[in-house]
Amino acid sequence: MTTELFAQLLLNGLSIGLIYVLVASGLILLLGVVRIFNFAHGEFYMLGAYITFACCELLHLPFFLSIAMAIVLVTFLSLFCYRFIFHYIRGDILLCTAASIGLSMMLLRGALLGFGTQERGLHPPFKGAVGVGQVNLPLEKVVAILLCLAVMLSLYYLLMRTKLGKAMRAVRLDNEVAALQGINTNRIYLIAFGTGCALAALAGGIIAPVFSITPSMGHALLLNCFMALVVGGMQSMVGGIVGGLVVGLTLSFGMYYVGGLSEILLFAVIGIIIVLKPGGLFGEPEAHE
Amino acid sequence: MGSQKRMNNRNMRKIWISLMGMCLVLALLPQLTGSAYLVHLMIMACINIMLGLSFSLLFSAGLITIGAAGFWAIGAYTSALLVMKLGLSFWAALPLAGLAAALVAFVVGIIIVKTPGVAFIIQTMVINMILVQVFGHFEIFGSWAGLLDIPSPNSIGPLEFTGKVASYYLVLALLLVNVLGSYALYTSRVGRAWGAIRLNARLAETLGVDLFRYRLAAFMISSAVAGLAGSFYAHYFQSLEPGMFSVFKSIYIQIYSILGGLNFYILGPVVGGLIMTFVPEFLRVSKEIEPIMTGGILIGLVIFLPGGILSLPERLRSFSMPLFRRSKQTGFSQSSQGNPH
Amino acid sequence: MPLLEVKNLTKHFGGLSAITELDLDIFNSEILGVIGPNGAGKSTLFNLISGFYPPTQGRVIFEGRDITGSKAHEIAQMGIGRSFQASTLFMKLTVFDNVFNAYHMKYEKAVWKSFLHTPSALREERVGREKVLEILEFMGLAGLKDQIAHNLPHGHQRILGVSIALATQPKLLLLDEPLTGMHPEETLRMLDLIKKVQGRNITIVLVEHNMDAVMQLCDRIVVLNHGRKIAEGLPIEIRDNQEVIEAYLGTEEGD
Repeated sequence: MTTELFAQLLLNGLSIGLIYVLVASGLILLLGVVRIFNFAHGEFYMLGAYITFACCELLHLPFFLSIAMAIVLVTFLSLFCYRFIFHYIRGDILLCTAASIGLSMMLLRGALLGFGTQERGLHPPFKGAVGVGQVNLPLEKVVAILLCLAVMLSLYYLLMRTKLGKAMRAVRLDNEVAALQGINTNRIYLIAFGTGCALAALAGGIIAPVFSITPSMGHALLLNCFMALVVGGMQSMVGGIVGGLVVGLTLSFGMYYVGGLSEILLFAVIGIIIVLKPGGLFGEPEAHE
Repeated sequence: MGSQKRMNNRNMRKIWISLMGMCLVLALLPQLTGSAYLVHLMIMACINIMLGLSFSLLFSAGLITIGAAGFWAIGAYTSALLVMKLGLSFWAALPLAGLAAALVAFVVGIIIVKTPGVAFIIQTMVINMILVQVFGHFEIFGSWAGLLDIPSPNSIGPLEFTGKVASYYLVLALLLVNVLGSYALYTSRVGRAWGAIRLNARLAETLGVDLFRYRLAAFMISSAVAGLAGSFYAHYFQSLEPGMFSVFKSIYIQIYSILGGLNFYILGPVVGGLIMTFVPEFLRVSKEIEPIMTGGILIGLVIFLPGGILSLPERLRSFSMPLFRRSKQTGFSQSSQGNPH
Repeated sequence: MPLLEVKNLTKHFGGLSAITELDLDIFNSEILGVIGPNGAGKSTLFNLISGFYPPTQGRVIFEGRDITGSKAHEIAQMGIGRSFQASTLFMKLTVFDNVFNAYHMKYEKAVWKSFLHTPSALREERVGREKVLEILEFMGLAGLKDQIAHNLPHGHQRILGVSIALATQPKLLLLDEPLTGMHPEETLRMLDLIKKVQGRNITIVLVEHNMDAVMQLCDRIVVLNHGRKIAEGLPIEIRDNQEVIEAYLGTEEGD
């Protein structure tokens, strides 16, 4: 294949993949620190995209300010959800499933009513293309990739170098011991939950100029993020990164080579990984009972 | 403690009597109401209840699945194809569909049942997704457009099964068979072994319970029940489409049991299935915001009644229990002992 | 012929050897004590015998049959029962149901008969329930049979653990630190019960830290240290054995 084609596919795969990485990282944070699974996570992503769109197109705010607004608003919403919903069912996976499905129903319908069913497109704030060698890469995808990378680096810094991050990791390892060490676990849960959902909203905002915005975009994304978690394992951020990139790139290249079968291809790959390493590539293997 | 047991027995008897009464009402329902739509809803409810029973069968053995819709699909497509392509009668296709689902569960189960826990949940989800893709991809299943014009069940003598009322009685009978079968299982050695595995698998092992065998059996039986429901579904709706069998449907199936009460393996899916089928319909007065209300009700029920609706009597009896109960367990909810009722 | 023979048993975990070249014979109707400082490999020995993991090397022979590598539930069915260190019970069930679950193996009628609730299956169940009551009486728990296991005081939970193991009608019973966390009254009671169990012609192997109890109760004692057997014999012999004393003192000082 030509270098041009390869570059386009690679760019596509990376941009989608990194979005998966961001959203999956949010989920991993929720799972690991707060011990919650949130099926409405995709809806926070979707709301991030919509709010960015609304701020940009309707209020004519600059792009980055729009994203910031989206993050702030969605984070507020998510904290509200945590305080009144997830706080009570922390740790119970089945109850979380049921409650977050309910939340997902509400948010999805709310978005549908508020924004209508037609697809929205955010006009890319960055027009044009970047020339790399002989290849022209569309600028918005490049920007998206760079933004994602920036966010991942900040997240790394937050988790590894700050006191807050250390506290979160401590709670993740053992919340009882963490409490004994003087960490305010309730506050950490709140912050971790907010951060995880903020990541989703951020991803939505970043991707807003690149792909079309619909109320059901969260659902489709969530399923693929789940695939990413399955591949990479739900234990670590590294797993999330590897998982997200694998899924994004497989879909992108797969779409070109096998078209409709790309999903089956992805599932077959995942099926094999699961059988060989049930915990995902970077997950801990299930302890033998 | 002994008196409480006696009280429970009396309560259970009351419950069973009122159930008999309900069954009578159910049987006469089509006569009592003229609305074909209501009968249709009841049929949907019965199907959902069966799917919920399927979930509970696995849950009673300590396994959680989000792939029930996949086996539902296997039953549906198998039955439809057996009738349409091989000319079999529905009455032969029905058990074969259940068998097909059990067979696939066997093949898959041999691998995945060995890793119970979160790994199992994910594996069932992936299997569901693979199945949906398979049914959507190949021509023989009608690809993404699905199968159309699936015939209704064949008549037996003078009995016709093309109308809603006849279908209703059919699904009711099917449901009854499943309920009785499940009940027989739960009160037998098998059910006790499953309960032991669910509560403390390691201890169960020391007591001679072959974890692998019992888990595999649970998986196969659960899938067979879903398959049977699928067969009926195919010939009632008379059209199938892969999108109906997605992972989201599997998750909804979970919710039936969660709403009703996870520890009530039979009544839980019944209550939950009825609620999730009828409440959205009643709320359809305002079609626009119905999902918002349903979602809100769902959240409310989960928070205020984490043990499910059927835990209400117990809750009311012990007023000392705080209204907001926070679950401190990680992993699966293992509130109290499973109840075969 | 010994009831259980352990020959050249070795177990490696990663780089560490938990048990090395252990030879042990257990004879019918005796109470054998297994003692040793922490980390000596006592629990590992139990896990190997009851089949939770296979040994790296060596054989386990029960009643003349080689059971090395058999799965845990198979070994349970052959007649080796055990209780655990941490109270491993069905916490949410009643005392009665806890022991009744243990009766699982003893059903002789086919499973499908149980499913169909045939008269013979129901009769068998009734017999089972009677047997359970009998065990509860024997262990002194009959009055508590409808209590939820979760609510029992620690000492009673331990006794329940032994009762469950007993209900499997084992020929060999492995008791893993049954006296841990018990106060003197409870300890005496448990010692009494263990002696009673021996009276039922059940061979017992006991891992314990409570030296007085071990000396009182056991017919023979085996001492492990760092996964090896360092002494074996009658309680009096062990008590005055120099190596044994050093093994225990060593860990106290070294830690």
